Amino acid sequence: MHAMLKGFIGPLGDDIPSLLAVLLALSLFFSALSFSFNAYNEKVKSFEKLKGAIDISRVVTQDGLITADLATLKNKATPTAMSYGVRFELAFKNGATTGPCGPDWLKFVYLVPYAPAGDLNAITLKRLEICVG
Amino acid sequence: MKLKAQSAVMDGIIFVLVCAAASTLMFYTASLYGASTNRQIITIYNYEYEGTALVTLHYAKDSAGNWFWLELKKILSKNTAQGDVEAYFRNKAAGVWDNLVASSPSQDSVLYFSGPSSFYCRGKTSASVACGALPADFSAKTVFSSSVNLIDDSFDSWEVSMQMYY
Repeated sequence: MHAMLKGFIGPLGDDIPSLLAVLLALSLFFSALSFSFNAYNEKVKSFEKLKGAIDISRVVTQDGLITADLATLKNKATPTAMSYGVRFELAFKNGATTGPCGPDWLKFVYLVPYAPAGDLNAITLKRLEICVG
Repeated sequence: MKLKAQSAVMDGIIFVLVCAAASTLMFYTASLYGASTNRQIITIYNYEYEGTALVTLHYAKDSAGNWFWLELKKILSKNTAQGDVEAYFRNKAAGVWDNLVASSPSQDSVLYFSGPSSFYCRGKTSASVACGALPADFSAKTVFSSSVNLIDDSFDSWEVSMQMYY
């Protein structure tokens, strides 16, 4: 009888080892769930940025021939950018720019005809860079 | 009692296995999520770029001050279209070609002319433009293509496609 009482915790003592396994399993599962949610949210943000960049580009290039300066084009596309919650900058390669692009911003390039101040005799082909972040 | 404890631990271990399998499935699904959407958006950008570039070519002028598209129509109306187009891109329209290729997101941008004959024009620079058949390895690449029709009373219509290979 005395030998049986040594180290005797009780009915709960039988369950403690299995409780450890259950707790490990639950923590593993919820960590995986949390990671999946974070991955999902990051991807959703990334898609919003991509979709925003495409729509901003459409607004900027919709007229075909660009006669306005970059600041005016930027103002034209700002409501679209705000609807996606992104920032963007425009730049002609080796030329005018509305501002610096961030290091991890997306960059989209388009070949556009540019007529400064609407002068149709001075149309040149320009590389327009649209960066979105 | 020993057996009860043993069975409880066994239940716990099985539960760990089930949770590990579910977690693995969740990791796998999380990595797959959005892959096709990403591809679709990249596809849209490529088509948007090509559409914009083809519109831009309507406003382009060659070094002699002639409208690019009108000169191209004149060249395509001749029987020697392929050779003449190649010479045009190497000389008078060199600036147009260089702008087209330099701004393209693809390393291999090609203009495909389809009409009474058909040929591809490609080259990293205007000096290296060559018109003819595409190399065989291009058939294995992903391609995005947009086209425009050149119609004139003096010739059968030609279709000019801009193709970007990845």
